[in-house]
Amino acid sequence: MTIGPTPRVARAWDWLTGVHSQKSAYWLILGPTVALTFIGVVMVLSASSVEFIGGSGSFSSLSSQGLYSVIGLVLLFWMGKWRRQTYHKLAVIMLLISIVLLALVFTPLGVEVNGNRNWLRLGGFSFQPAEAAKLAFSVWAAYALSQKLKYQTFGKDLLVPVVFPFGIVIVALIMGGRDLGTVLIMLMIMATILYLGGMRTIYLVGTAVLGLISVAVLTMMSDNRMMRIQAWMGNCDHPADPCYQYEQGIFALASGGWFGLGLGQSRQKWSYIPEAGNDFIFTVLGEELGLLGALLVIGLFVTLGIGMFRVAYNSTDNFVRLSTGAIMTWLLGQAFMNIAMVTGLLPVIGVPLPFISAGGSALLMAILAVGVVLSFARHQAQEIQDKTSTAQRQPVTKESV
Amino acid sequence: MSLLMICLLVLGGRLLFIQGIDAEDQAQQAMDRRTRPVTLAPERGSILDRDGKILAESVQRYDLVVDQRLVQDSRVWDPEESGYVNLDIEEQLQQLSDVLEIDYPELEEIMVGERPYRVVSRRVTPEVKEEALELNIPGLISEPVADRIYPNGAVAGSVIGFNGHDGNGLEGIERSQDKRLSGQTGERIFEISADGVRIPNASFSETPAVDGNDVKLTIDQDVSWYAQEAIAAKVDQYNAEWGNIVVMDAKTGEILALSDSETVDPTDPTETDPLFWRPTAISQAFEPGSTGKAVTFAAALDAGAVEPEDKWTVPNSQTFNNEEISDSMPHDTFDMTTAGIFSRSYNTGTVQVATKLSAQERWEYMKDFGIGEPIDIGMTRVNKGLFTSWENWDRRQHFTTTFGQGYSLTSLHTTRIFQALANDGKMMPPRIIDSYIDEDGVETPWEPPTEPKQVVSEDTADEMLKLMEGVVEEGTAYNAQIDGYRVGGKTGTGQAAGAGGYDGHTTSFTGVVPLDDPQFIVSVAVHRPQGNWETWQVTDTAADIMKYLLSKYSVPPSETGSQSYDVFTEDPQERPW
Repeated sequence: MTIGPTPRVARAWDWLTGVHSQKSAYWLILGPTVALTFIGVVMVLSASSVEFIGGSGSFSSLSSQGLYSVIGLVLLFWMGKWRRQTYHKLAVIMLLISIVLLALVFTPLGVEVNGNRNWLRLGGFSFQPAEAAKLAFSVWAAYALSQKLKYQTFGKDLLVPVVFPFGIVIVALIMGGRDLGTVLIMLMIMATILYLGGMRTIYLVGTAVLGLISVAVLTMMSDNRMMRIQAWMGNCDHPADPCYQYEQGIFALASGGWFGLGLGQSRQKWSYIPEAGNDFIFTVLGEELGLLGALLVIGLFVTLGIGMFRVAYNSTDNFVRLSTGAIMTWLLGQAFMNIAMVTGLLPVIGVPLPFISAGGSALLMAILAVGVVLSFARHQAQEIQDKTSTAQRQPVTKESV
Repeated sequence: MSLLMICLLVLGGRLLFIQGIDAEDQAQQAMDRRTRPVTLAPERGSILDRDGKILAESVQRYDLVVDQRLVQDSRVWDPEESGYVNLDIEEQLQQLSDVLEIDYPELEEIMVGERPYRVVSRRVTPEVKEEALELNIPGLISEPVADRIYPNGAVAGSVIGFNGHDGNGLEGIERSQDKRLSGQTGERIFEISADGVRIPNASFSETPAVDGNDVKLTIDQDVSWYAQEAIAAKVDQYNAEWGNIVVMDAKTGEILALSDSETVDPTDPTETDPLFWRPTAISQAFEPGSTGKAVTFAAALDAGAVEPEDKWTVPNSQTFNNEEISDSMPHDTFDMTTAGIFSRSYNTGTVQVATKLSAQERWEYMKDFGIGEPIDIGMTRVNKGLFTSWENWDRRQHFTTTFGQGYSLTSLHTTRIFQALANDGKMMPPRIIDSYIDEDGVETPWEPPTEPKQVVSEDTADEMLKLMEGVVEEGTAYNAQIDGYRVGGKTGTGQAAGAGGYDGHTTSFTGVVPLDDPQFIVSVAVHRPQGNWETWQVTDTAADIMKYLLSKYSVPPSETGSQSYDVFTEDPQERPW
């Protein structure tokens, strides 16, 4: 287990994987989730308060974001007690439901927002089926693949049914709604599952290259996307002023400086930053809470990642490893893409920041995803406890096995 | 797995750069884009007459301005309907055309195009502004401006002056007192949101504007109006180039009227000849003619060289130092008193009286009376006249200056000379600005730049009033007589110099009323009247103004009788001219 060039690196590795404190994963996951959700509710209230002045009221976003966060956290604790067999059963049903919902987007029930058709509206209630699809797919694909892995090592036939047909179908449906950001996240989730399932890196890299090429082609086919890429590379010469949003975001972050202007004090949220409460909420957070607050958020995501990594690393169950890895890729990958986008490291692709950006369904699904991992962590801790009590009777350390 | 972690750490580094290291510059740029300085316009002070009646005041008006690039169909949020309403720009322009009373094609020409700034309508009232902005036309905004109004019309227009489009004074008191009237602009600096709302929690600083002072004049609005009507009629009668009337308080030097034959309308000055944009009584100098004899006689009396009843032999024409001096009308040779020469205004006699003094002595008296000196009454572009030193006088000028030729002055100069004679020889600095009144109503009197000056003795002044009375009683100004009041004065018809020599006249009369306790100096001048000079007279106009003043200011009638001297040393006193 402790493989490393020097003892110092080995100790770091041990710390990261949490071999000595395996129960800690539970808290490393739960803590950041609650903290991020809370920061999210506060920031959404702050960032979108201006937009709602005179409209539905400055506090309307608080009520919706707050409601979803409460529902989400209640479910989180409940799910923490589920056994993994429960997910086995639920996985297929959830996947089918989310595919149906994704398809419903193309019926009159679907709503187009900012050029992306990825919303469903039923009565006064709207949500993004793609968010549900991310969670359902992560759990189901991990389950399906882990079932197959019980009988054979990784081979081409294992691509069925994870990639063909379900993966392709979901990606195609999301792509149909022109939501490139979510497509990228889905592809990352799929790649993670295949990698953890044992697919050889060379194939994965090959596929990734292929994927990048196709994304590039897709980009070139769309003037809008081309413009954004151009803007990212510094060419702002376009009547739509493509650099405006990015520039205003940077202005906000820079105005925040080290310690921020204080909660609620953002100037840039006064209609300067488009989507201040949504994709660009991190810039408002940076302006109000400063570098300190921004690093805190990143730190929370890192902590969450460490917690999940420990769960996956310390599990021998492929289902746990795969689904935890997928969820981790999803949440952290999306967080990375969002922050990289608002800081100008990536072109502006509409990806919200998990837990923090305004959006009830996205928040709910992110919390539920954590819930899945949290239940794994809980049971893992339980098992370790059981094992330790066994070990006391049979004094054999894990390392020596 | 840890790849993701590394990615997130990269983000941390990027953030450190943006927020920690490179922040200053970007934050400043962001600040600059949000910050809006707004100039706070102070209210321009009013101009008041001596009784506090408003001659000029500022009112709030708005310029409607359009950014043509934004003029298009639009959608606005209707809070009553709780929904968006589509607005058709053509329909909106139709409505605006009705509100502003501008023809639709003309309005369309103004509103449609690519210019970011174009004035649609200037100086609209707050009501019209509200109506126009309620149409919600994208790109149409209002800018507050102050407009100047003149509640009593064009009274004393040339004194008040007028302002340019930018609200700064171009002429008159508006110009000379511009600094006092304008006050100090303030500035408000605040941050706005992208859609123009002030960000309530952001930085804010304000330097309040200081409103301009009111300028209270010594002008009497009623007298000014009466005088401007009178002089207009007189100038019209003789088809003259211009004429003016000065009314001055005999004791204080306060100017009650500086009226011109044409009065500029401050709301539309271009309608009037620029000559009348300033009071001609301070801007136009002319050779006074016989009115100037007042200085000559006062000097001779004050120096003790002559007495009022000295005897003189006065022919129609006489040669002094090879220069022949003649009277305007042929007359017999008379034996006359000093006073008689003054009242009949004979040049030959005047030169005899004057030459009792040396040229330098006379020149010094003239200088003391303020001839050739600019008069600072707080107005710009005063004419100081032309008055050369006695050393530079040519041979003839030694004699012509005794009867008001060979030098020039303004009506205000003449009025001031008579004020000194009417005020026991004490010349007061003339004043047209009474005081400044600040925002809080505190009055600060205008400080004249010169001190009162005793020009001649009290006795001389008394004698001069008797001589002036003779002019009205027995001499050239009999039309200035007023029942019940003792009036004195001096007429004059000076030759007016043109491009190639003397080619016209200025006829004038300056009078004092009442002589037993002088209250007012009234000076009337008409430049280049047409027709036979023998028919010209302005004494009736002066008497008219005097009667108005006496009645308006309830001056009691004179209690003493005439104290004028005999004209001739021997009776009969009634002799042909």
